[in-house]
Amino acid sequence: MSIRACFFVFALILWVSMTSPAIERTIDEQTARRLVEGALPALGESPKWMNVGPWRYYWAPEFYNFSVYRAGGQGVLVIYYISVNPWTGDVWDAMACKRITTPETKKEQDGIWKQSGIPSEARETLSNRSPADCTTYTRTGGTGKESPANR
Amino acid sequence: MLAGEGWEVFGCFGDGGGGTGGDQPTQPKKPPCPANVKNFVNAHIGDATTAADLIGTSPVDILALSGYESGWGGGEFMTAQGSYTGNAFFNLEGEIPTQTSTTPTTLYLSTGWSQPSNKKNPDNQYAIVAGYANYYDAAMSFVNYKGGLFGNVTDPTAFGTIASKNGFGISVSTFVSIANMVANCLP
Repeated sequence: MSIRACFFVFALILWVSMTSPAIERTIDEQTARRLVEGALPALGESPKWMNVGPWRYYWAPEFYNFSVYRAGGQGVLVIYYISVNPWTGDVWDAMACKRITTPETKKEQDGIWKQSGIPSEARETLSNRSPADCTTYTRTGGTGKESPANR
Repeated sequence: MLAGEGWEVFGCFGDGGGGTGGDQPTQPKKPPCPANVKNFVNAHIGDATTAADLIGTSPVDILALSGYESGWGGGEFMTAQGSYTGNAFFNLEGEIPTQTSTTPTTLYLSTGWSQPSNKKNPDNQYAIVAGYANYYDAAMSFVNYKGGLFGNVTDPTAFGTIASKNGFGISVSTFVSIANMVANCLP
């Protein structure tokens, strides 16, 4: 790694170190809700029928966390658990550990990032932050087979 | 440094750079079981096993479904509000045509209803969510009300498929991955 590259990496780390403890959120809760509503079509849902409510997800306190639900009509409330990255506006299906987005949402996220004034190099790092255990626990979808020990 | 990030930067000082560590983030160690899931499993494994035995399914499936539906106990309808007791571990609901309608026959053991929204659903009905005193009552209501759908189904893929086709808003792949996580959290 060149001296210049090293300097850049250290400068980036120093910047992130200095700014992260403050955890200054780039977006407010209202914007997070709007992003959630905008991303719902990615789950096959229309915002028209959905309600966005609070979700106490203690495992990801730095994120905006919502339960999004509608009457299912089959005796069960249809519900999703959505987390929003407070710096990048990335919208996560928190239980599935998957980012969800639509072209409109992506456009708004790009605008949020542009307005934040955060160096573009940091976007990937901040964007890689996921709610709860997504970064530390790989959800592979499994084999569909339950081990005898778990029966 | 951001939590969970493990940047390897010491190659700057060692062999003049060019090391494989470079500027790639390292993978953090994977814990076998997230704490919130562990807490949920520990709190409800006994009641979930009782419910599972009645249906002929696995407690892992019961815990996975109720964990998802309740947001690991942190979902909106878990909280008591007024006469509504919360504890809607399975998000069982009823429907009424107008907001002042008489509520439908109360689900087995439910203590009352919460009307979560002023929005009607596509069937032109208002949803109301059943509240319970505790996990056991919610699970017994699930057994009574929905258990027949899952009779003797233990395989998570089959269980998740039935759930997704019968009103539960969870995909099969998500259910299977959550079931695997729950299995990792069993005592």
